[in-house]
Amino acid sequence: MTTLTPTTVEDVAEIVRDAIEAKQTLELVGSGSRRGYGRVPQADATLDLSTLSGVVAYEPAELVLTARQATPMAEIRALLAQHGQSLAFEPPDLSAVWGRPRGSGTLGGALSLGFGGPRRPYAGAARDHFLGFKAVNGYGEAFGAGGRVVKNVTGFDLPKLMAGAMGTLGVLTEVTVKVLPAPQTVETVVLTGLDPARAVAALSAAQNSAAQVTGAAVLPPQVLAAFPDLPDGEMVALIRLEGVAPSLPSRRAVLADVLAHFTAPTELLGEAASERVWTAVADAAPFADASRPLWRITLPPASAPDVIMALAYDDSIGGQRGYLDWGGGLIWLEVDGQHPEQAAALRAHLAAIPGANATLVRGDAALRSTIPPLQPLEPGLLALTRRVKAQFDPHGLFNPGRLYEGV
Amino acid sequence: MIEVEAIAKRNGCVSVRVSTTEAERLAFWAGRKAAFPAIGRLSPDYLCMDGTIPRGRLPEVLTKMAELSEKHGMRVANVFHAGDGNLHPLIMYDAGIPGQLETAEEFGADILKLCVDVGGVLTGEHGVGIEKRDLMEYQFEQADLEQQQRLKCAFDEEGVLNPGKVFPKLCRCAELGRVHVHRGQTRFPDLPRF
Amino acid sequence: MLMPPPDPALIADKARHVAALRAIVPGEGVIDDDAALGAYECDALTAHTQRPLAVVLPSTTAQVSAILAYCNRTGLKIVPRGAGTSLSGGSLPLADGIVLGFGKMNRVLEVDFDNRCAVVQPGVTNLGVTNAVKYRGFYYAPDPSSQIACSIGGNVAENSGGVHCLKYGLTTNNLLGVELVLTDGSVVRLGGKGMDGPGLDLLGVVAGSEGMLGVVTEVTVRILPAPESRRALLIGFASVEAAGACVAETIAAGSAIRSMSRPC
Repeated sequence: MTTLTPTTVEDVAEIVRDAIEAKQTLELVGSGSRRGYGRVPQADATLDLSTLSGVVAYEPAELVLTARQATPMAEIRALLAQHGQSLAFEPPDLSAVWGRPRGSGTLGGALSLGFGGPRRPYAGAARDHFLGFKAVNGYGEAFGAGGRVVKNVTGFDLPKLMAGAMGTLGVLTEVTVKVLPAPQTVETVVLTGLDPARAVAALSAAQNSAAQVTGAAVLPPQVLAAFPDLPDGEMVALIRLEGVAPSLPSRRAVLADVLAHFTAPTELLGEAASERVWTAVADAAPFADASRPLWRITLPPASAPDVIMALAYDDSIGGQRGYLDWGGGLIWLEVDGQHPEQAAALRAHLAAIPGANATLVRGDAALRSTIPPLQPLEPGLLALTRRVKAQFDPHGLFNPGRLYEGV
Repeated sequence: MIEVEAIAKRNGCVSVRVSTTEAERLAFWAGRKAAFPAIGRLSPDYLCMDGTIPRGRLPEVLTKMAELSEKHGMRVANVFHAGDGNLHPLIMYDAGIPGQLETAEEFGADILKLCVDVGGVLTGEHGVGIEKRDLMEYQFEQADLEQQQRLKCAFDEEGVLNPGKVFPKLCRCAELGRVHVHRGQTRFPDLPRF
Repeated sequence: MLMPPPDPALIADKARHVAALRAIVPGEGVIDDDAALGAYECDALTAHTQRPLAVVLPSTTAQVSAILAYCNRTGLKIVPRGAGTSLSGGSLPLADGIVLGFGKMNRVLEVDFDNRCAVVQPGVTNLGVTNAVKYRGFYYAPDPSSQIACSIGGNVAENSGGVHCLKYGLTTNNLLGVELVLTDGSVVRLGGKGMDGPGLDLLGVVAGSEGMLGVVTEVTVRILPAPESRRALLIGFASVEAAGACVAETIAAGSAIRSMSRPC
């Protein structure tokens, strides 16, 4: 297949205008690490954005960073670390989930996917840290939105729309993100001896306390091989505290107080172990370097125990391995076999829970062509989504059908 | 807390008071939250602006704002969230004096243009509405505004929802949907064609 | 302030439109006499005024849906209005349009501490959300200075901020879901109690859309437990420059700063 490699924004605009005339669709590729996500890419030509790389401006004191779309995430992380800063939404590195080398993603790719890590419920997802962009729309016009300041409500908030759009609305060429001081210190309270329902209740109590929790996960024994820092053998619940060191003892005490109703903390992990554990939680490490279907289920956190129980007793969904993040608001679930009927069975268990969605993050091409990888939308919402797509990309040039049919 | 105090002292602060009770904390904030009513006692009317600037440009912007104040012959007081660069200059005028509202609005527009000039934006939290509508072209390119209006077309094709706000020009959705035909040289000839 | 020229035919037909709207919202829900309309002729940007054709105060989503469908069909303009505290004229009426007011849709529908959220109607005040959850030590983070009066519906439309936004963000960062009525009268739900809904982030563009994309009839917001200790520091500086340098250094140091202000 033809690959087009623009080196400037003008090149991108030119290619898009040519594509309009030639009636050719384009698959947008940065590093290619996320090609396994969504519906199977099908386009007439590949738009290789990897040369649009490099940090354009970084002002640590202003808490903003501007970079070209395909700047490697590893480069961004290293640069921010030099200044004691980080991306507060903890963009997960899912490269290994899709069988790619770890660290192979780009900043534009992370924003286009939109996922946030364990801090999602407390600090937001990519959308909440995406301040502005330059892009080329499906008319072949360069345009921009947002700005380079943190507080801005001027005009429609198009960066929100671009986050998670997987390149279906336009070709991002340059992006600006909010950066924040990295937490000065981190520690993790480890709980054992709880069943899933009690574990979620304990995490809820912790999150509802004044301890200012920034991570709450439940890991069953089946996934613990990916977490060498944790006690083996039985289910663990994790609670993360971050911030300035002097604030931790009092917050730890608050936590101990609310957890007393559930269980005594088994262990307290220090900084290095905490970093490793939460990175593995963010990156879905238990499911790296495999090919079995992987689901990402988001739901109201308090519903999680009922859902995992219902799924566990459903024999039509075989070989389940999974864990909870976001205090129950996120379930990662790997299943055996590439069976389309599992998707329907799985989604059926969520149907009665408003706000619950299941996304097939990994599956073979046949499975991703048979079932909708993204949670199907209500007809009215799908129609609106298609109208939005048409206003950005009227000819359906960009990543056609990547999210939904016609989007 | 101790750390903030140390930073403040390094930067030559003249006083530091730490709230010791919740009542005292609220009292400190009451000073900030009462800033607007306080201006009301200085001037019969005021316009509250709302630009955001990169924080590092603050001293420069304050100096230029003082110059603008002189130019327009109108006083301005500053209330701001320095932490996020959001400025709320309060332009003091008297609506009873003919021409003062217009002068205040011109002064306000100059301040917002100044915010854009230093890399900031027209509004940090108040919205564009009608107040900053005609300045949108100062911050955005035409293509930027067209794409925003196209989004509106996906939701409100007939243009019945709050028309006349935010965008300086009313565009028909059909016009926005028209493709500017491109008949230039093809620089990427290997793109497959039918 | 130049506004789009009103359509004289719509104004001439006022009686018919008012009757049609009364069929949707009976009784006192439709205001059309000139004196009463005066109360709606401006918002907090008082320098500009315009009386609307009528004011409609719906009580249900079904009424909002029927009103929007009627207006879309007839060309009557719609100016949504929460508490009218906009400082940018976001709810300045149009002569050939209605003001759609949310004063009657002001109930807290649900408080869900297990999922750390509250579901409210758009007319609930910003402070009303905090008041509904504070008995359990929770609060709603965005706190615009008009929080006693301003409505959550208006906050969503304007993406309102406040003094806590450095740490907790604007409305959009604390918004989990909305029920949205589109101009054709159809109703869609964006987001909900779960995070990261599927597909394009339409919730993200509805927040801050200044009442131009749809009409919000229900709002789900994130609520937070109040931190154990909150202290305020009042620091005096001889010069603005010194104060600015202190702010920059403090934030760079990563202190858990929520807001910094400079009264005059």
